[in-house]
Amino acid sequence: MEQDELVRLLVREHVKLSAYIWSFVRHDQVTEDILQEVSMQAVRSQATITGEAHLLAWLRRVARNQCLNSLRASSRRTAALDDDLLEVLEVDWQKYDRTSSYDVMDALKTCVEKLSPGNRRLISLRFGEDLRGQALAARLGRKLNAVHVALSRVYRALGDCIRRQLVEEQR
Amino acid sequence: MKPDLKATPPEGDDELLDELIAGYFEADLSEQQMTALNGRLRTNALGRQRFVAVAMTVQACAAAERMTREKVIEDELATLSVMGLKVETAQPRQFETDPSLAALISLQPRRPAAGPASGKIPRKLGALRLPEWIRRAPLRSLAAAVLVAVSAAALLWRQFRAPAHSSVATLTRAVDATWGAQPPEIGAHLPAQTTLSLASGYAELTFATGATVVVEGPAEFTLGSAGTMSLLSGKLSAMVPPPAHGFTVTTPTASVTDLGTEFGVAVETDDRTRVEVFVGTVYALGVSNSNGDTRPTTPAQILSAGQAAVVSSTAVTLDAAGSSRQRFVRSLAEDATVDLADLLSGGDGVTERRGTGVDQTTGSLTSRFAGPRPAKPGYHRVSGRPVIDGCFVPDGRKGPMAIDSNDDRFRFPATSGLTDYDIWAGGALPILPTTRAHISPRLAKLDYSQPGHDLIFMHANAGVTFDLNAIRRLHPGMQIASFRFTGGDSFDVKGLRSQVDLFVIVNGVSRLEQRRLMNTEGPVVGDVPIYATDRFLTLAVTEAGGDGINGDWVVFGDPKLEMTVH
Repeated sequence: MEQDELVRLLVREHVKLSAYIWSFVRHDQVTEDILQEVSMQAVRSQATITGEAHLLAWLRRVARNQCLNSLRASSRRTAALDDDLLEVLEVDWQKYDRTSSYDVMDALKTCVEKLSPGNRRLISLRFGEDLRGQALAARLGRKLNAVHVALSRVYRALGDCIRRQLVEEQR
Repeated sequence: MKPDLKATPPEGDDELLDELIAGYFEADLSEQQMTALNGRLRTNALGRQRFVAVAMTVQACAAAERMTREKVIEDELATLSVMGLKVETAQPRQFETDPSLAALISLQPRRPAAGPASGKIPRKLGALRLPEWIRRAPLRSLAAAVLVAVSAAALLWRQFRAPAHSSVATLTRAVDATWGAQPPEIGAHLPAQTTLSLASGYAELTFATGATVVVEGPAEFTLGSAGTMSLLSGKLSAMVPPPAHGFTVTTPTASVTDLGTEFGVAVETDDRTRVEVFVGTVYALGVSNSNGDTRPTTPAQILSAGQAAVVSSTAVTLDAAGSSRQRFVRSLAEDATVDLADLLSGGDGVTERRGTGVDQTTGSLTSRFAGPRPAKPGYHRVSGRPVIDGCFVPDGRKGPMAIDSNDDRFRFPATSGLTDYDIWAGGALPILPTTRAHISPRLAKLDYSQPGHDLIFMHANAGVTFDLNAIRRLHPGMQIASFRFTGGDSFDVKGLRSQVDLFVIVNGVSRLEQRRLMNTEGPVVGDVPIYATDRFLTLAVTEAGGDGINGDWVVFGDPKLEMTVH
């Protein structure tokens, strides 16, 4: 694969690959570190990567190994999903292979705009101000359990909406 | 979060699984909850899809936020320049409301331009932050280290392609569903050759290939092998993402194969199937069924977005009326809002369609924005839009007048009986601003014709009525809680005044009135409650102040129905 094509794809895959890594480690800095390391390995391995599909599978494979190594080296191993489940989940990640991160971001923008004002505020506090757990509950003046339920519903609504938007993208 | 982890919940207990997934990503699940999450995901295909979708959503949100914080630095530009990449400037859009939300959603990387790289690098990249690894990468001389052999990658690829379980589809949602014998549970994995009878209500099936189908009862259907199903009676809509292309629906008279699309199929009679395409293309052909053997009986016909056809075993006949998203339930998703401009333009309220006019003097649909025409008295039904009941020219000179098909009557103020232009759902107004600058889609400097907003634009005297029951049918499981909008007189000529009366009427009874609304005043923010028994929602605008209809332009900005779960 040509170098600039590979880098273009890495930029395009940035958000998707971040999501994949983060789904394992759930830590922003660790995610960023692994993302950088995997991306650099891909650039070094440019000559052996034969095409886009190969690259996407390769990135996930390497990222997954890095994530599992990171978890084993930390105290968070007990919080990992089971290995056999991770295998099954690969099928679901693969379904996004023909979707670019740009598509995901476009869809997100559209879908956030469709949320109710209250849910937009929830998302804004969670990501704009990086509030989580009790801090988020305190800001909203709600119980932690209620905030979790609200977040789960917003995540589900956004996830479903993004999926629909990505189909629209094929228009 | 305190889910009951002791009980063995039914597969696809969506809400609880959603909470576990959210808890996992918020990193505060107990060991017991982790065990429950592992167990549920292992047996729930939809749950796994949602898990991935939530991860994607959260990281997309986080990325959007990072982009608002990071500044592009010179060496990143230089790196890009060395690599010959062309990246266009992403100009953040200015939001005039909720700045924290604007920060979250307005900034994102623009797609790199197609075609060969020009090497021309803009001085500023707006909000696009380039990853650190670009600067650290060995750009000129790359080591030929082989980390993953091609053969291993090929094996990996095949492994990804292998099916995770033997079922071909999962019953992922149901709303008001009553089933025939052996009703399936939500989350049930359904193997090939499963036949189900849905007496009433709606069911959503998610195929292992990724296709999603919403079946509307009464219907009977059989699952085929992966990516196929037979609809023996009833109707369905299918949404087919790229990995599932080739998804095929057969009926007693038709075979419909997706070529990357969203479509609807309705078995109308034993010898007649209706096919409507909303997105992309399908090919459809007539078939005969004999002893379980399906044989093609007509040439295949390609149908594109917007087209509809009636397929019998002898012919595929295009229907000039085209497809309508308002004839099929496309999703059982819990949409938070439904957009009236989209409904008026032929969507189901969540598809962001724009650019349709309704002639309030006849009820005909138009893509133009026609000027003055003589008003015709009476209530005019609108055909081709099930959710639009009708329209009219308000005039109180002869007492109360019919404003919906139930003959609910309302007494408007006495008017001149004149009207101008069509009722328009936008998006952009189809008028050149240089020639008609006073026709403005702006209220309080906010342009509702711009992306991210929408409007219904009306010139006095005009009224349009929506059928709330038809809207409810498009969103099963949801109820309409309220109608919200920002409305005002948008006439925009310096030094000139205009004034209008604005009405929001439900079942013939006023629920919001703003009399003598001036173009020099700020807009009205409406939040009108809608109850389960409400059938018709009417928006109307009349002249006011005795100065005729000149300049009486009204914007209903961002007209939304707020939805809640039943």
